Amino acid sequence: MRMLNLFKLNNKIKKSHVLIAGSFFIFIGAITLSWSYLARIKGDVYEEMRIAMMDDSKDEKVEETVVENIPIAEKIEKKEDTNNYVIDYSKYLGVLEIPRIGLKRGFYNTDSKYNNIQYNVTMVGGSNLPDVENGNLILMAHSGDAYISYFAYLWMLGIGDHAYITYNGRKYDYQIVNIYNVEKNGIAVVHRNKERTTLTLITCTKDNDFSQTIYILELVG
Amino acid sequence: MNLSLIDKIGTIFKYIFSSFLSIEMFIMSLLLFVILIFNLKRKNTLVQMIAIGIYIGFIIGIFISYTTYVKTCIDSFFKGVMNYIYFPSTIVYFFIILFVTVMILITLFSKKLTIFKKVINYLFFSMLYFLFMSFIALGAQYGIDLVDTALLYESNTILSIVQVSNFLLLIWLVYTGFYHLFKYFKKKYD
Repeated sequence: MRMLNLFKLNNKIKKSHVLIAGSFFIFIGAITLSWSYLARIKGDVYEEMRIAMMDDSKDEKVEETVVENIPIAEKIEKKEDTNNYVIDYSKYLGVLEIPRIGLKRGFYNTDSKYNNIQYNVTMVGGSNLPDVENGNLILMAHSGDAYISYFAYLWMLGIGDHAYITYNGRKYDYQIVNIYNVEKNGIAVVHRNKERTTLTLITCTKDNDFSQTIYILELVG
Repeated sequence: MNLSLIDKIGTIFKYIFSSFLSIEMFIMSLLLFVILIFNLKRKNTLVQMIAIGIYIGFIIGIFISYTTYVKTCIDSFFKGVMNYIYFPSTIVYFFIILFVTVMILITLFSKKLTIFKKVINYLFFSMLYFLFMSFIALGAQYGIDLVDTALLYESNTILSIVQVSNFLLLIWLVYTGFYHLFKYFKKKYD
């Protein structure tokens, strides 16, 4: 009787069932084997899309407006050193350093083909170099987690933190005096004290797809 | 860039006779064509096998000669596919929905499909339609240019809708593929 039941059961397993099960396992096997490759490609696709998204902010028009009651940074003691630094990155126009987030990155002049947000911290057209009194140097870079997201950790900075620009053999010390968000609509309004030499850093706001964060730093040394 | 058809053909002929490799490839393609034509009457299986062998040889030859380039092409192909899955342009998404609409009509009037398959189809298509309508509604609500892919997918909601939508379509395609394969096996082997 048991043999008969087994025979009946065997009879129910048709060739088409075996073939479809085999095809299914081959399909699953192929997916499993190529999983890491597909995951890598997926990562690349996401990376490219992130870059494309961040490129939207590339052609920002920067406007300057004077706003009263801008917080003034506390005076700090001038450093003892002579401010004569040799820039290691000779190919760059200048180097931005923010020790608190471990950032050190060179930037090129606005007329350089390497002054491109796809590759570097980018100097916005119309910026002044650090040696221009009461000028404003505006730098932009991507945030997020792409390899070119040089400003990925700017969100960790607060009022009073320092950033340094090494330019023309001199190291300029800036201190953050204001941080604010603006809508990502192609125009970034920079609120700064025009009687101070400033550095402006612009990047996308952390965890917000529709705004950008602007960091205003004033020269303190 | 703006060449006439004759100019284009002329350019190809210039390329053919520009190097030994291109002449060799041209002669091999011609030989293959001649062999296949002569075999139309004789219907020799061996010749057919040789023709298939030459085709495979061509592919293997190209792969060996231009390994790096071929790998790059394969990568680009899969990237393109992944792009369609994860970040399709609106036009592609519209075509997907058009395809779904056609499939709904086929399902509605088909007498061959089983009830279970019809239920599965209706379930997937309803979900896809819901997601598509939500996509349009959100695009209008945010005032986003639907053609600008980068801007469009800055919204996590829209991104989720499109990706879930494509994932559902992918599952449906795989299921349908296996469904038809099973029907084929059943017809041929049972």
